[in-house]
Amino acid sequence: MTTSLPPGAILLIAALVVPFVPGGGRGAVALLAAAISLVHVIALEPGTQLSLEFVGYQLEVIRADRLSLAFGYIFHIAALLSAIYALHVRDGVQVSAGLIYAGSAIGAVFAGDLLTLFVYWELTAISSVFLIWASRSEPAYRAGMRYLIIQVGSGVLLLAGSLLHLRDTGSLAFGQIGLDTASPASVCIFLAFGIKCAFPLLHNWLQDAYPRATVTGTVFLSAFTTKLAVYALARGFPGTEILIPIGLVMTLFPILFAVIENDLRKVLAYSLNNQLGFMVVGIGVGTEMALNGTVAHAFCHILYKALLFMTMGAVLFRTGKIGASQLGGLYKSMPITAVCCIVGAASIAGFPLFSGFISKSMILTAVADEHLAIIWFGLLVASAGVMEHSGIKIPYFAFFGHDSGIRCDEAPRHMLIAMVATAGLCVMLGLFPWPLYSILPYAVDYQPFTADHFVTQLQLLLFAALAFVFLVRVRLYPPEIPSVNLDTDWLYRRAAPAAVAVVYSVGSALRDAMLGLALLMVGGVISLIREVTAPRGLFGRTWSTGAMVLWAAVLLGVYLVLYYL
Amino acid sequence: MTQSDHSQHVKRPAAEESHWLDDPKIVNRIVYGLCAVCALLVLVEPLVHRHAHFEADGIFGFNAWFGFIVFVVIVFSGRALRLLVKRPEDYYDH
Repeated sequence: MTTSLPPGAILLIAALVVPFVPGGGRGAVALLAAAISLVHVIALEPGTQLSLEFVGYQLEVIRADRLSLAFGYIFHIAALLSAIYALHVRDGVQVSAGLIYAGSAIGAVFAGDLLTLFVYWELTAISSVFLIWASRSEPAYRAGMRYLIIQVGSGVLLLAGSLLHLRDTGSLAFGQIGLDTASPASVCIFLAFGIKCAFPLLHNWLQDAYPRATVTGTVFLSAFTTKLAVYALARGFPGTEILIPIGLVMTLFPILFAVIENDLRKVLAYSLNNQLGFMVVGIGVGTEMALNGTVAHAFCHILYKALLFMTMGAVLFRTGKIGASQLGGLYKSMPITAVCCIVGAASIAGFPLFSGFISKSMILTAVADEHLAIIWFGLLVASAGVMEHSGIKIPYFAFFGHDSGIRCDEAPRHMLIAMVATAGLCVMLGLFPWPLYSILPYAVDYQPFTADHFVTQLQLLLFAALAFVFLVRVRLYPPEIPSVNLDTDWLYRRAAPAAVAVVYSVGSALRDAMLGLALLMVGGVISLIREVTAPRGLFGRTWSTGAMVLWAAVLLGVYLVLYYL
Repeated sequence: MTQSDHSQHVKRPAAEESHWLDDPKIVNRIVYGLCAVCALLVLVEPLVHRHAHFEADGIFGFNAWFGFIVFVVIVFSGRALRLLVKRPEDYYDH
C-alpha cells in the first residue's frame, strides 16, 4: 500500500464518485471506500511521514505516530459502522457529505502541520453541515446555519493562530504548543480547539445542531468533530492545567440539562458533552496514564455514543418521534434495538465488562495518582450523572416506562447489523481491553479487573439505579415534559437579536428626534426670513427719508472713528 | 414532532399478547432483585482488598451511599433548573 496517499483521501475520492452512481448503490460505495481506507491505514507504520513544499513552507501531509494512528483506527471503524447504518440512504448529498466529513477528520489527525490541519478542519465543518441541512426543514436549516458560523469561526481562529505561530516560531509544525496567555498565537489555537471541543459556554452548537441532523447524519456527527478536537488538544496542549477545571465543568453541567431534556437525541448530545469532559481532564493532567486514558476513552466513547445515537435514530426512523414524553414501551416492537441500547447504556455508564469500565477508570486513576481530590470526587459525581441520563433515562423512556401504545416494525436489517456489530465491539472491549491498550500512545501499566474496582463501580451504579427506582416509586422523579430548555444558545437566538432590536429602536428614535429638531430649526429660519422680508417686515417696508439720513450719518460717523484709530 | 411520513410504520394490533414486563409482579421481582444485589455488594465489601485513593472513599460503603445521594441530588437539581430554563416548546418559533 502506497504511503504517498494521505489517510482519508480514499473517502474524499469516493465522495466525488458517489454522485455518478445510481441511488441504490451509493451506500455501498461509501461502505466499500471505508473498508479500503481502513486497510490503507492499518498498513501505515508508526513513523511514516510525507512532506511536501508549498510556497516555500514545509507541509507535513502525513505524520503517522501512535497518537494519530489510534484516532485513525477508531475514526475508520466509526466511518465503517456509520456507513453500514446508512446503507439505505439514496440522497447523494448526504452520502457524499458523510464521506468528505469522515475523510477530512481522518486527514486532520494525520496532519503534521497547522496549515494542513486548518484545511481539513474547515472541510469537516463545511461538509458536516450538509448532514444537518439534509433534514430539509426550516429549523434544521437555521440550526445548521448557526452551527456553520461557529465551526467556521473556529477555523478562522485556527488560521489566525497558525499564522501568528509561524511569525513567532518560523515553523508551521503541529506539535506541543502549550497555553501561554502572553502569546496570541497560542490563545487563538487553544480557543479554536476549545470551540470544536464544546468547552463550557462555547458548547451549545452541539446540543443545538446534532439533534436536528438526519437519522444517519447524527451518527456520523457524534464520532468525528469533537474527537478531532480532543486529538488536537492532546497533541497541542497536554498537561495544560486549566484544562482540568474546564473538563470538570464539562462533565458536570450537562448532566442537569440532560435530566430535564425531552428530546432524547438532545439528551445524548448533552451526554456527549459530559463524556468529552472526562477526556479534557485527562489531557489537562497530561501524565502518560492520563493521556492513555483519554485516547482509550475517546476510542470506547466513539463506539458507545454512535451505538446510542443509532438506537435513537432507529426509533425516530420507525416512529417519527424522539420526545421522551411521546415514547415508551418500544421493547415490544423493537427488542433487538432495545438490547443494543442497553449495551450502549451499560458501556457509557461504565458497568464492569462493558467498554466504559476499562477506559474511564484510567482517567480517574490518573487523577487520583496526582492527588487531585476535588477533581476526583467531581468526576465521581459526573459518573453517577452519566448513569442517570444515559444509563437509565435513554433506554427507560424509549423502550420501557409508560407504554406509549406505539407499535412499529423492528429497525431495518442493515441498521440492526450496524447496531449489533457496534454493541459487540463495546462488549469485546469490556472483556478484552488489551488490544486497545496495545495501540495507546504509551505503554500501559493498568489492570482494570480488580475486585476492588468491580465492587466499588457496581456499588456506585446500582445504588444510583436504586435511587431511580425509589424516586419513580414515590413519584418524585420529574415527569418528561415537552418543552424547550434555555441554554447559551439563548444568548444569540434571543438576547443578541433583542439587544440589536433595542439598539435599532433607540437609534431610530434618536434619528427621528434629531430630524424633527433640524426641521423645526429650518422652519424657524424660513419663517424668520419670511417675516423680515414681508411687505411690513424689517427689510420689506418702505423706510422714511429721515431714518435713511440718520443711518447714513451713523455709518459715516463709524467710518470716521475707525479711520482715526 | 408531528405525525410525519414515518407514521405509516406505526400500527396498533387489535389484540396482542401480553408482554412479560406488563406484569407488575415481574417488575416488582426485578426491583427486589436489584435491592438484593445492592445489599450483597455492600456485604461483600469487607472481603475485598480495598485501596482507597483518598480518606473519604475508604469509608465503608462509600460508593454505595455516594451513588444514591448524588443521584437524588442531581434529579432534584434538575427539577430546580427546570424552574429557571423551561420554556414552551415553540419558544424559538416566533
